[in-house]
Amino acid sequence: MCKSILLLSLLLLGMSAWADEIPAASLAPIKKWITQQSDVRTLSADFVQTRRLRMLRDPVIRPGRFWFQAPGSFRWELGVPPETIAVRGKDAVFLISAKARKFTRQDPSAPAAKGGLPDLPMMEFPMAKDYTDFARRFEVRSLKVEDNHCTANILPRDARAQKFLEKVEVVFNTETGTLFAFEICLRDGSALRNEFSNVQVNREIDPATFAFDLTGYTAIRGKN
Amino acid sequence: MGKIKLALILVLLTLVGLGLSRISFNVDILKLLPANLTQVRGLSLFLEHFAMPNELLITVEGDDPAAVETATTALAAHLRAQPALVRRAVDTAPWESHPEDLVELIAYLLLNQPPEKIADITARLSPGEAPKIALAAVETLGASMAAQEIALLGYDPFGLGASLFNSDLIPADMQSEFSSADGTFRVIYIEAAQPIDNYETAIAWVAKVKRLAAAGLVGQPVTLGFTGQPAFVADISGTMKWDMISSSAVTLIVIGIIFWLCYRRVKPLLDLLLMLVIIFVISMGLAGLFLHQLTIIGVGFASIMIGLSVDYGYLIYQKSLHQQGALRDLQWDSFRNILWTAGTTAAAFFALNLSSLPGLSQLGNLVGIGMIVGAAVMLLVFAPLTQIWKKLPPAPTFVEHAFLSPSFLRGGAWVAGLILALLAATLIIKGPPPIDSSADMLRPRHSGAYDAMDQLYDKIADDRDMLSLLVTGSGEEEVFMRLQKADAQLQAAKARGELRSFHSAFPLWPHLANQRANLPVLGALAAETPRLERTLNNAGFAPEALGLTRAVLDQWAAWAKQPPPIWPDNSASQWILRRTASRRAGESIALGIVRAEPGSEDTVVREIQTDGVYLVSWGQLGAELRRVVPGEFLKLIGGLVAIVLVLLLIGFRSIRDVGLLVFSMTLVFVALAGAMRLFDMSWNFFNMAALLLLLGTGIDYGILMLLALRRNGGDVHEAQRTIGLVVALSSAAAAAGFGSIGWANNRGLASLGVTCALGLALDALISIFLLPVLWRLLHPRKIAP
Repeated sequence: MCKSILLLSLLLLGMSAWADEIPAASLAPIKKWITQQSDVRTLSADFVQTRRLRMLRDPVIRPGRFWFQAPGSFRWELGVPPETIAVRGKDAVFLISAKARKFTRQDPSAPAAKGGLPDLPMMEFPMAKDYTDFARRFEVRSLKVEDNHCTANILPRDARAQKFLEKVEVVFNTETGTLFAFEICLRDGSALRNEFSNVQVNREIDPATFAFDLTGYTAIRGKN
Repeated sequence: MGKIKLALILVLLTLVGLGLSRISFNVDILKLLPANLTQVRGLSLFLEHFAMPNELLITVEGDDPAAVETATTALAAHLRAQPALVRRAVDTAPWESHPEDLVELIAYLLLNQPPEKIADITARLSPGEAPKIALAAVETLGASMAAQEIALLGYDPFGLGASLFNSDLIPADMQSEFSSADGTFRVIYIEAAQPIDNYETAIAWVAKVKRLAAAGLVGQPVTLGFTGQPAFVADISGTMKWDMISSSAVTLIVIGIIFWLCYRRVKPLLDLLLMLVIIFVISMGLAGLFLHQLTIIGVGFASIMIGLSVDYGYLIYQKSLHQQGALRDLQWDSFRNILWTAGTTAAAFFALNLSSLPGLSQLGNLVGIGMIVGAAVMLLVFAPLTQIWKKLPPAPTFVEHAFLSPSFLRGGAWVAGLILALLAATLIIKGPPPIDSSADMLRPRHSGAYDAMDQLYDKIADDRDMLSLLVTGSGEEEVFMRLQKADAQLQAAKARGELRSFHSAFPLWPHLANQRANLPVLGALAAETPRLERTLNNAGFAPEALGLTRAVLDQWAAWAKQPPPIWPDNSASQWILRRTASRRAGESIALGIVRAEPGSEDTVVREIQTDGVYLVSWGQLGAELRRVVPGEFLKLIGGLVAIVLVLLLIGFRSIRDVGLLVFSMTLVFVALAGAMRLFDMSWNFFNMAALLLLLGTGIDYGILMLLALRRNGGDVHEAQRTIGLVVALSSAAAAAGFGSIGWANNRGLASLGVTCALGLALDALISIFLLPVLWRLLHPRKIAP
């Protein structure tokens, strides 16, 4: 009996060790995806966000729209019509509540808050400059490829972020690099998942998309 | 007669034993500085109330953040498993493992708010508003893109804590005190199981923790550092002991070598060394009777005293070689010489009492006592011993031969003149030595605890440019009033652009009026808990969503049964308040931090600092010392010069001779300044005392030489022959005594030792070789045939 328990323990230990260490060859889809991201000049997509929060009995589901322009401009709109907007232009990120007509200004060079939780619980795009940068900042915990769909469970290496994050899941097309889904799972059991559709790559985007007229909006205290 | 002597010896031994048993070390560097200075008072209060005498900080550093975290967690657990040694080992903020503990602080901060704000809270929780607030929270949770808002609102749907997180009460830029941003450097806070009330306990406890930590981390890719108050005490007191023992031993060895080179006699040498040990023990014991704690500077007394006391031994021994009369004659003859030299030297050291630097005063008293004890022991014990050795045939050595040689003495004069010219030229070209007024002189040269603390500043939170705001009072009410005023002044200073930021303890300090007004209102809200639970349930929240609200309401209900002032006291609150508030019987202190804009520090300190309010830093301490100490030294030196001049005029009754002594001392100071410039030394608050000590001790050499010249009718060679050797021996021994503290761990003490040694060597050179020549120029008619 004792021997069986010991064997089982060793087996589990071995399995967990294998789970932690992804062979370099298996990471090829991630490398390819990161490389493909560097070719993206503009990106726009529709998405549906599902928030499963530990303190709410039912998930909250909202549609939205996303735009990106290299090197780092973005706009996230949540809700139709948009209730919340996140815009990064030249020198700052603005979190805008259209309903309350309030905004918060944040420093774009500090994507992660000092407490370790990302300020913006949305996907950072591009995730990394190149694969070396990606490997420095993220650890790949598991990787599954099925019918050109790659599901990667990754975790930031930042110890403070790990205190809050259970995992980050990205699902993408291994051939085209198109993003299907992005999910942040928190340690308290909450999760935020974005399912993307109508993804358009390298199409012209109106520069006004990455600006926002804040006239009539009230600034509220941010972190920067 | 024998019985009386025995009884006296027994009394002396008892007193000495009693004194020695009382001696301890005080590593507080502020004890070396004038207690009347505001910065010294403020920093002393800071150390007394917030330095955590029982808390050791272990720093863990490595390249891999994960490995550092693993090692830190393991080490903390390893230490926690030793309850006999460690009361607690904290490696993460208490609220990270028990976030529910923060509820008490939230309840407390809200209790301190103005009644209008409480009215707003009660309105939000009312039957009419609460359902709307709950539904709005669900909306926000679905739509917000601010991570912090989502994280907080789920646990606090009525927004009780939100107002605090969005205010200055919880600074957004607050740096973790447990880990560097990249995770490669972490800190564990260790509290001793028993109070650390003396330096021996500190040394023993820190050593045990170090051993335990090393054993618990074998093979881990991390390095450890130890700092905090117990580590400072262990480090500094350990080196103080070593400094005192090693410098005394070195002085004794140097004295032995000098004596051997000059006389080559074993028995007198051994007896002389024995006398010095006796003088040291008696002086130390007598000092212990009225003083039980040696400061970092005070420990330097031993070697200085040995180096100076031996002069009397050399003098007596040299006289005994040529003395023909009875022992009483030798003692009387020596006494007259010693009275002069010991008188001026002891006067100079006792004059250090007039200094406002207590460290120097202590050093002065200890050496002064030592000089008197030394003179007594040498005259009463050593002189009789010389009568035994006198029977031995004299064996002149090469040193004695040198002082018999006119060419050596002439050559010496040329060399002394050249050295003096070189140093004077250096002084003219490079200017006087600069003044180092930084507080660095208070620091030890080598200390693992200081190194670890510097690393902690570099990696986690560098508060070296910060000013500490200490607001004191006899109770909470008085501190609150002063905090309120200081807070308003700081706000105004910030508006004027004089401050970068400040965090006062004002928001954390109990607001008695608000607490009295709010407690009945908030205490009654606990009865509303079932209704609020239903409200959240109806809005779609899980049952746990009321957790924080319920805990806050329960806390208010519990506090409503107590009279104000209310203080939070669970482990998380204690952790936060331990560096913010200190309460003792009759004295309460609040601590805050202020970051002034560069160049505005002095202005801010002047504006904010008032009765009971201190704005202090080590930099400001240096500035205050710079304003006060040099002027005070000048006054002291002026006073001592006047006393010495009067004594000399009475003793010599010759303005020319006194003028010559003044001139030779001036040459000594010029040469010293030149030598300091040559060796890139600077003046500081401690080695400035060298001027005073040189005036007291160095002038002895000139006095001895002038007395010899007068005795010999102006025969320069005879004077140099009879007294030159004694001066050379005395100065070499004294320089050895001072020089041996040149490697003391305390920079101030070491600089004092080196400066004095240098000054004494130059003084001897001038007194032996140049003074007689100058005297001859001044008294052409008194030249002996």
